[in-house]
Amino acid sequence: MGEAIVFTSGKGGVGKTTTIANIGAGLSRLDKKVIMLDTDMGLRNLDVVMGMEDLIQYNLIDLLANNCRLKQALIRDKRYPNLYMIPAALHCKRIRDYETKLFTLISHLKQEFDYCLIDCPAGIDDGFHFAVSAADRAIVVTTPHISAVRDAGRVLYLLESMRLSQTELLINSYNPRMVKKHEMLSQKDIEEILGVPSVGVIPVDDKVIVSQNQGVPVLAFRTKSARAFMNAARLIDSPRVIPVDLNVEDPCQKQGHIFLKSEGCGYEA
Amino acid sequence: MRHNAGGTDQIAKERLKLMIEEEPTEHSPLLMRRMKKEISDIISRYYEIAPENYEIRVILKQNRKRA
Repeated sequence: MGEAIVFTSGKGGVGKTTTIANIGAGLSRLDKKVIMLDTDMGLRNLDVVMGMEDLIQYNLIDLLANNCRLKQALIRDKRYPNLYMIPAALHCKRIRDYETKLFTLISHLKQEFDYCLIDCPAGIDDGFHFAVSAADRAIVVTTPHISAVRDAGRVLYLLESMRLSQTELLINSYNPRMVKKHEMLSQKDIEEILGVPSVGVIPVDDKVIVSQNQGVPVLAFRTKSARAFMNAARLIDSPRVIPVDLNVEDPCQKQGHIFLKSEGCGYEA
Repeated sequence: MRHNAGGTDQIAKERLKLMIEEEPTEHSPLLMRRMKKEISDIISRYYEIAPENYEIRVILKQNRKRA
């Protein structure tokens, strides 16, 4: 029996979609069967980040409205073993009418997949409730920005009444240098303010944009954020893994570009 | 808010703490979680026991609401 994890944040632009794409790819590298669902109707982006925008034929609403079969809506990622996704629709009115159907779909998917990752839209209205309704577990993505932390607090408050088995944080766009200078909230500060442990800290990294320009998860590169995403994926999969300390200088970091040239879009296990 | 002891991070932290405390106060789950975290910190100061091996539950006798 698999697990359905919703990635949510309240505030937009903190990196929910980036996180899903990379955690999805990371879990698939750990030999898990993973499906990613984009529920951000109208503003779908997971397909773009994954470089799959040309492969879309049917979407989540088509599937929920019985306009197609599951196999038709699934898009398989050829670069990663056992990584699939279902894109969001571009139009959808009254999304909450589909909540029961989503629940049935996810119960079915959990029998076949180890992880079902749900990309939640920004905001806390209908789209949020729709995305969270069928999840077992939530990961709240935030950044050290004061506005993002505040919104994460609001979202955590709302999640409390939703019978989830587990809620954790994932801190994105972290800048260890600024934290050292006491100009940015630290991981410890954020965890303390929100009262929830974090499952990962992703350092801010230019390679995220570079990889997304090409429609590839940043995991394909040898870079600090890729390493952090992989650690987070391991921690999500088995909570007993001790995460690597990000403050330690990494030897690969300085010569990252050398690795990039030789590696291209491929990756090593 | 002139707690400029070191950097701006402490200003942000204090502002956030105030903001979150202002949220709907009636047994705010967030505050409850923070309280539980503090209690568990105290427990671990006295006992060598992992947090997953015990549970903290607050029962308010007035209206028997469980948190």
